[in-house]
Amino acid sequence: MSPSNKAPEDGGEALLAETIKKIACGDFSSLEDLYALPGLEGIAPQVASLAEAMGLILVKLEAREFHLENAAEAEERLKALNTLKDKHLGIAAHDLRNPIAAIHGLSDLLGNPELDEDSRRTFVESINTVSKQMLILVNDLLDISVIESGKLDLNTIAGNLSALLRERADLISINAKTKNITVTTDLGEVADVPIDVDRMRQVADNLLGNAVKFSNPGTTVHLACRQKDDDLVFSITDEGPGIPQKDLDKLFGVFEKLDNQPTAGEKSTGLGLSIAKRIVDAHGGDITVESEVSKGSTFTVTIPIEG
Amino acid sequence: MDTASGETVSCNSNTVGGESMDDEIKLRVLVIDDELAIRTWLKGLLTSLGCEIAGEAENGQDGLELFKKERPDLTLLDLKMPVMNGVEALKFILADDPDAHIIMLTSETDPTVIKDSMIAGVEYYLPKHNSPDKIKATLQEQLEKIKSNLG
Repeated sequence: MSPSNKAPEDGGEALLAETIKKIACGDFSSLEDLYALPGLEGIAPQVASLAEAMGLILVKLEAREFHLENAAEAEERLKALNTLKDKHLGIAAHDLRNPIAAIHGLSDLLGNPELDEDSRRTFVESINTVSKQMLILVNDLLDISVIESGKLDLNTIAGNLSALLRERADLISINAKTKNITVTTDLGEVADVPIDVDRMRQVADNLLGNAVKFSNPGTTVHLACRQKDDDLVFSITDEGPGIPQKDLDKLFGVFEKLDNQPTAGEKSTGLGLSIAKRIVDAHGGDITVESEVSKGSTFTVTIPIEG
Repeated sequence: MDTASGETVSCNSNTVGGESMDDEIKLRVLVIDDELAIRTWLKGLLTSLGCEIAGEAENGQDGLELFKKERPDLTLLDLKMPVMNGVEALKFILADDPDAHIIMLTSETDPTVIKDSMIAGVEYYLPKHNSPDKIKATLQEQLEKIKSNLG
């Protein structure tokens, strides 16, 4: 076929018009036909490059639309996260303001030189207690913020969970005794596992602490640790009030406090379990809970032996 | 721990001294707050202002029962409490006695929650994070108001 300048034959013009129209709509299917039509050989490559340019623009537009959609979705997610963060900040502010107000007010009362000795002692003890609670809350808040920003670095070594749990159980027993709660253990020989010892202590203290905090006098808290297949499993069983089925999902959420109240006026930040769960998650493990209202709860922690 | 005691706590006003407003009328005040330290502070403050503590409770429900039993001249009510929160307790108290004097004393800053308590009929909203002087002055003012009504 030689290049030709002659006008397209009958039907050629119509096909050209039709093809361009289709290209304008993003349909490139009849492009091939142009080459086959006598008289259009000269113009066909130009139409083809037009189509190519058009195609590129369309691809770019689609990509842009895709990005925009993704950006909108990401923005929604960020907004939701931000709202949650605001809510948490509000709770933290409230929970910090309250003890500060008490300390502020009590210290103001202590300034009265005529205050009787009993009141003075009560006020000082009160200030002491709430400062300790504030310290726990601030520490928990810092922990949560470190963990949530993905900066929880585990300092993992080969540690013995059974020995660690024995040590924590001995410590909590002292507290438990003042509430007439018995702590029993079944901690056999287990293999060493890769754990961050400090963080695991925190998990054990939280779970044991909760068990004692929410149980009534005269009950027992049982701690067991055993090897199961490729995991180490430890469980803490209490005879406390139990957790209603509907609340089990909320249990590990940040600042979630359920209706159950500590039995001796102890404080709770609403952060402990969420921190414990994230620490266990970071070890590649899992915390699960089984509970029956007015029977008690069992928290089970699974840690893989191969880290 | 049973903090919902109806016993009238001895007020030590003679030992605290100097700030008692009126030796004739001692207003009886009920303190409802879940935080022990806050109750300790408020009881101390009210005592120094010459009040008698009609009782204290750590949640709205116990507070409501104490209110019905003690019929205090003034109730200091926290907002955020377990079992029954302050807004609910407020509604029940006002349903029981529409003339009850109630001051909402709270660390809550969420405007919708504060609005709820205003709508429910709280007389005075006092942020806990105000300075002790401001809180004391406001309480004093409200106590005087109640006293002049009684008088």
